[in-house]
Amino acid sequence: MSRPRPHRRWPLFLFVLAVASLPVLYGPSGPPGLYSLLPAAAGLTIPDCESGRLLTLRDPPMRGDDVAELQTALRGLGLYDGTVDGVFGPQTARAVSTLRSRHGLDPSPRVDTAFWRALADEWWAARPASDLPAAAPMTEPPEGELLLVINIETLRLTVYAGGFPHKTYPVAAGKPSTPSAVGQWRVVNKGINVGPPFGTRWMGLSVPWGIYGVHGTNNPGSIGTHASGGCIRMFNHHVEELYEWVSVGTPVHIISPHWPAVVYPSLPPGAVGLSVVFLQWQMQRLGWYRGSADGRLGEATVSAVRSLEAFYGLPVDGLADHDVLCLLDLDR
Amino acid sequence: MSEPGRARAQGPRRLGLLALTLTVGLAVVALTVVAGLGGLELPWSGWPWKRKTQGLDPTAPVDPDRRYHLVVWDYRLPFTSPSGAPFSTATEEAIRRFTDRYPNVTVDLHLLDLDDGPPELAQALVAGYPPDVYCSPYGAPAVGSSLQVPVGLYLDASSWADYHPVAWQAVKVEGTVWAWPRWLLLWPWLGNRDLLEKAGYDPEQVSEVGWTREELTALGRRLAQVGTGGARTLAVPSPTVLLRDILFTPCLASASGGSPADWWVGPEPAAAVEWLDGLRESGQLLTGEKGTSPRVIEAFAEGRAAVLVPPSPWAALFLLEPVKRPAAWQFQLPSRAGRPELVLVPPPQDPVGTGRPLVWVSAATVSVFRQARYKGDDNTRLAVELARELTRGYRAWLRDQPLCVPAWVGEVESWRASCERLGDAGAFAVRCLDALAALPRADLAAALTTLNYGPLVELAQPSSDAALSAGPTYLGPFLEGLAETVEGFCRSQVPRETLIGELGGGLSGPP
Repeated sequence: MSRPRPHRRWPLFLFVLAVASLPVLYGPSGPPGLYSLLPAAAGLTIPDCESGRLLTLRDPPMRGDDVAELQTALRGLGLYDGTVDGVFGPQTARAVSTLRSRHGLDPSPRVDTAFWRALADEWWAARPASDLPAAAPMTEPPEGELLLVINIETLRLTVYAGGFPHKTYPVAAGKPSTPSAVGQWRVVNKGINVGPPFGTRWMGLSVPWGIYGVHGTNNPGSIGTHASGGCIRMFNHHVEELYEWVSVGTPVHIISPHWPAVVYPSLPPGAVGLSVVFLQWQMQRLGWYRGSADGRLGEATVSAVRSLEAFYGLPVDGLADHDVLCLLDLDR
Repeated sequence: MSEPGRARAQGPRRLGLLALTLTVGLAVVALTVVAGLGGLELPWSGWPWKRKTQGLDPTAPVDPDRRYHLVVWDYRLPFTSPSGAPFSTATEEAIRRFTDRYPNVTVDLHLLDLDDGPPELAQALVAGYPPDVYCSPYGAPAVGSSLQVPVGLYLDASSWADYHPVAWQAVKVEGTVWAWPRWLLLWPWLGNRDLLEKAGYDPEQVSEVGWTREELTALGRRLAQVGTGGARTLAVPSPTVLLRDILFTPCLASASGGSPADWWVGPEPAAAVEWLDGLRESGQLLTGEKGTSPRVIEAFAEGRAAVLVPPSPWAALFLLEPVKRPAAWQFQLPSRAGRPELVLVPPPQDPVGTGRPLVWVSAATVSVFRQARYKGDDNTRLAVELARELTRGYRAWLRDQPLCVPAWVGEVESWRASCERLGDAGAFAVRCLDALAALPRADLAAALTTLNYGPLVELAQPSSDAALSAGPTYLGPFLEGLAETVEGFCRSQVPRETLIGELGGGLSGPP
């Protein structure tokens, strides 16, 4: 089967990136519906979670989480025994050149699309057959309403169909410095081969404070770790299977059972963020809120706070102040 | 004039008479139709074909061949059954039981948000079209509208035995039962066990036999003596609840002897305000500042006050946490380690204790309304029956709420059993209910009426005529109407004389 050539999509990628960044820049008060302006079939919204930059040896050296991830991947293949320090130095460059040479690429220390493909091939070749997640047979398509639940502590994505677990996949989630967005989201767009860092499939999520998604990867060795910039990575063959089942609008819940909930008091209507997610989640759990924990403090959330205040005999103003948080078990 | 000439002159005159007759006839028919629909009172309203709208006949037969349609309003309450069904399921089940008995009745259920319900009802009353049946989790049993049907008219001897005696007193106003009791709510205070013990109080004893105002005043002094980091005596998120609670026992002792108006200008309210003034002057009241994010409940939860006057029993129960929550769910809740241990206590009694914990009690009610365009006595009778059915079948949803006592006696035993399971909170609730039940019924009903309605108990009398003439009003709890003054007083912004004056009749009547 011929592989698509994603590098030809880079100009389109950059265009879409520029357009997609608008909602983030505007924030919650920005013009609505910008997502709908994006050409759904042409690469969609592009995430914040993967840098996608071309790495190579420079002076001063390139630094960053992407370099650290590269070093971790090279170390996993036995090509690099230096420190994982996120600095693209000579030792990292030598390891990159070695891998490129092995796969018939020019030995310049360039981490480009061809390099990542070679790295993925090498990673898969190094796995014992019994250990291959790929060995799991393809599953029958699920029937009934779908829900994806991603536990970023166990690094598992479970597909629920009609309320029952249908299939579970291993995933990679965000690093501690760039955690995945917990909350109750929906798939807002889908795309095929949107860019090398995102593997073969992309499913964007409705996170309001950035662009995140569930996608494939060019670094399969990262699956099962906290390595991403916040997105959920899957093996490409897994995300390809899932992609066929999921449609725009499918709910995706990202949970983290030991993540301490922090909610700032008196958040104003229109606020966006993780604090709002926890507020909504707890109100949902206690029977006050029937919407999704979608991180947007909209009318339904304010109305739920007002109902709670009326029920408990507090002044009804729709603000989740200190005393309201106390009666939600969210005060600290 | 010749014969043909006269005939020509009479032709137009006859036509004119005919037109006049037709016009008058049509006007009479139109007026009659309008009057028949209830929109106009006419001199011939006693004519036999006029639709009957006078009086309420509790024995009116239900026509099995007629299709009836009833509208029920209930609230979205945050309770779920063990199987996870929302509270509205209980209401739907009650409606199903009713329609099984009356298959020619269709019932529409409209669910209200807790903050929107009272204004929606008030608006519907003003418009003359309230729901047939209205379930209220709070508020007074009589809403002050001539459209409200006092269900007492429909009670037979067996009905009295079907509900707890305290529940009947909670829905009665000056002898009239205004609504079916759904459940009772007991309103205790919450104590910080550690601070009470440090101050030399035995929390169990306070919980069992109560205490006096003097003992509560002394608590503040002792807290200062033992050094508790500046902990206050009372945290008061809702000052009107505080005032109502401290007025309850003196009102019980004297309200049934005279009129509410006399009681409110008597010595008891003034003495209660003066006592509060003493607490306020000595800095023992912890209240929120106006316009700032209130941190009163939070302060109590952090051990900075010995006693909390909860704004509602639900708030008390939530803080008390009779049923433990899971530590981790889809995220981790803040730790409660280091939180003070809490104990339910009654408000202080005055002047001397009765040896029993006496707490304020309110009723969740199911009221019946008629509409400005009367649907008939048979329709009203069905609405009353449906309302009665809606008072039953909630135990699964309220199973862990010891301060919420079912009004229907068929469920009281189940409540007592769950109270045993719920430990100290359950035992306290049972003691409180028994203490209320041991009171003379007239005293309890009089005290509840006096504190609910204030000095001016002027309820519209039920009558279909009144419904057509008098504009309905919404009568809320009396003290809530004074909330601003009471809060200002607790924040030292209103002098006590002003508050005493307003309590004693500086009011012009319900809005």
